[in-house]
Amino acid sequence: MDNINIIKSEKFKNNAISLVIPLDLDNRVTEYNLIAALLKRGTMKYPTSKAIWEHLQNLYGAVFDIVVSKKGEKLFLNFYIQCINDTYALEGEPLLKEALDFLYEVVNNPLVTEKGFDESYFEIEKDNLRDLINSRKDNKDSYALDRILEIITEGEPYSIYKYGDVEKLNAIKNEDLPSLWKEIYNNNPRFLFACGNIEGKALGDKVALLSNNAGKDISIPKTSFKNEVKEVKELMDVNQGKLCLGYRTNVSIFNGDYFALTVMNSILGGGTHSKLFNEVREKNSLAYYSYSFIEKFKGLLVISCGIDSSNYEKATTICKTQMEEVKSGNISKEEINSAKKKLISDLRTITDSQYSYMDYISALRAYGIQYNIEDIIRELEKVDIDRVVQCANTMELNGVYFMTK
Amino acid sequence: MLERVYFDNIKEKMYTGVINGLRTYVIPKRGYTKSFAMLTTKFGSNQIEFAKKGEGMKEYPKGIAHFLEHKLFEEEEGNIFNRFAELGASPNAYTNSEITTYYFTSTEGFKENLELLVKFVYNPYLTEENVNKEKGIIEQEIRMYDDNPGFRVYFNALECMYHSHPVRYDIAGTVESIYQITPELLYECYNTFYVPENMVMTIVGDVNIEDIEKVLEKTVPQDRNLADFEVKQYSEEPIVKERKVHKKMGLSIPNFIIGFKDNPKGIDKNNFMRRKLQMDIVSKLLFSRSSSLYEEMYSSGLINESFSYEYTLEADYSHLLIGGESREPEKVMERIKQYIKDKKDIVNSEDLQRVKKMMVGSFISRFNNVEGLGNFVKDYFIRGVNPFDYYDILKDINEEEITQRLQYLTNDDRWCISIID
Repeated sequence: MDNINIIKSEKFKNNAISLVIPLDLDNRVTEYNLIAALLKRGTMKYPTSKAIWEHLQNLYGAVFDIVVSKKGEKLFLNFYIQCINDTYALEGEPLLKEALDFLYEVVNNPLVTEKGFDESYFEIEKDNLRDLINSRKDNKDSYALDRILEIITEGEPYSIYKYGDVEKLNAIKNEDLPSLWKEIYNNNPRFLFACGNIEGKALGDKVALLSNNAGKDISIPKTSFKNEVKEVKELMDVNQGKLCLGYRTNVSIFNGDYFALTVMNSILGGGTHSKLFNEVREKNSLAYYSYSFIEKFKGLLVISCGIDSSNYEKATTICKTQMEEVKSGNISKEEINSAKKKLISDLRTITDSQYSYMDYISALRAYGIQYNIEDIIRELEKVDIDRVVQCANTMELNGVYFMTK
Repeated sequence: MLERVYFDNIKEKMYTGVINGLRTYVIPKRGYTKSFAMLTTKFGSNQIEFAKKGEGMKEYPKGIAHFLEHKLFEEEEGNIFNRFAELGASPNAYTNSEITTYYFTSTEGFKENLELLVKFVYNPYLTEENVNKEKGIIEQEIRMYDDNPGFRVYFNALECMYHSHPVRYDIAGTVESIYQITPELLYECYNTFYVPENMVMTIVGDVNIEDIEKVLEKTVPQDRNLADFEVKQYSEEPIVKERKVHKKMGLSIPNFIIGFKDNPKGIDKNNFMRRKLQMDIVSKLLFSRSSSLYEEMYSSGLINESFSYEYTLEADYSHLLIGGESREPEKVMERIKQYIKDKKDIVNSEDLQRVKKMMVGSFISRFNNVEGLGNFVKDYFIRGVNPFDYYDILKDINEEEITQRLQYLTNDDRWCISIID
């Protein structure tokens, strides 16, 4: 299977390219983040930020980033570039070719010597990454979600923080990084996606050079029952309490009835049609936000709401009750229909954004899953209430996290 | 009826017209799965004091526009969310300082969803009971924002900058102010601002024009006339209220916003776009990643990737905000002010051309995003400005105008800083 994917579509005015490298979530996560930051700082041809951004601005404000994200037990590096289609260039500049050349330059010609990356860049990016890791608690909403996921996956690779940790960061030696980057680059599969009004030929030979079929065996994250409920209360100076309930689903995109899980989550907390929105917010006025989401690769479900701390007991009970309602099949036809319609609409909508489309599909491919969006929609349409109930009964509460004053 | 207008340079077209008093703009986007409709009223958190004809100025509780936004989703038979969900659509709304807007995205049944949108916005159902029920929900929304450093640093900056203009207050109001809100007060605001003449409909997507015309003709009410009313205008002093505001939230790295209080005098809908583009160019020349100032501050560790900027322009207030994270926010401000003083007299024409090129690209890119495009154009149309003028005005802007704006930025007593750490 070729790791080159061209999504041809005439509706976009832009062309976009994603080079996606999935890495194992392991004790080198901090290094991976630092390398991503350093690659953005300079290349042999464009040795400074100023040089890089002058070049990109001259390509009619091309968008460029290296996005780091955690999906299942992998860390994804997404080298993304997007620019307007050549037909809109005022002086006939070959923008798509330039964009690909730039991406190639970033990954193949980083600004390194045998001593490592540029020393001053190394120091600054180390400081920046340290700040990023340390500022985790500054955003209370995302911190609360990170914490509940960590609590229920303690000791497993999934619990590794995606930006790494400070102790490891302090020990990193600059001279080790260039060879580590080479190793990552050569020994992992690389998925090259292009989306836009693009003919395969127009991309030239760079595409084949950027992608890589080097395969590792795909390791499927383990999902297992823990038979315990960890309760963690964290005291912070907050005006609003953050309540999160974490469940093991025992179903993931790899095993069990994934499609029923998706519908089940939507009924429970996947939008304004859901039980959590209607019960916690609309009926009881306890929260402004109240929802649930699933981690499809690892098999986790989280319920989250922001409440007044004095309502902890009441809100927890109502949230748990909603899950029980789903388990016992107390689901109306309207609920399951709305849930399916919302899911299908959201999936179709992904194809309207070049970034989201490539991000979504590349994650599936990196895990060896060959579904397309329409395949998933077809399967979702078949899900009925019985399957939802059966799936709901594999959920087990593993953790409760509460951030409060 | 809606008339077609072509924009050849970007290969786009638009249908526009007034239906039952409602200004309507439709941009067809063939091939997109998602369609987007947005109904916007010129009523935001700043409009808290106004007078109906023959009556005196009346002040309303802060946050009333946002409160009304929440309540319009309520219908006699329950909330409207479920009706949209049955049609597979996601409705939502937001309020900012100047407008309130209601919208949905759908991948099927656009016509039915559009009908629902118009019906619920023009059909308020406010009771003592449902208004009181909402107070707990909005209180939690306010508290959520109170814990959000990005939000706090922003409103602190505006509070620091403005003496009396209500733009200095949180959009949702305060926990105290929302508890003063009653159905009667909400109806007074509703009846004043929610009339078709004060509103705009923007639609983007793979849509059928005739369907839209039919739905709007049938559902936009014809019995509501724009009453004579006057919204309080504020005349702000040119200098900032305070130079610095500082709040502790236990952050690991300080967040800051540096503000420049601009003077919007003489700006009306005829030169609105020009001023906005001039300031966009100025900010990009000074602060974008290709600038020497950015390179210098980033390389010395003074700023990080979060560094960003934004310009706001309205009839009676206007400001440039520059924000991010830094260990030494005040040093960032000093460096910026000095840099402007050094650079104020010359604009490098190569830099100007590059920034313009970049803006052409980002304008074109907007047409790739159905929701983003709808949002972008409505911000201009609601102010009576045509967003498609962007392209030609941008080309026309010269170095002299830019230098003039740059020089204005050297006014020392118009700068302030908000820090949270």
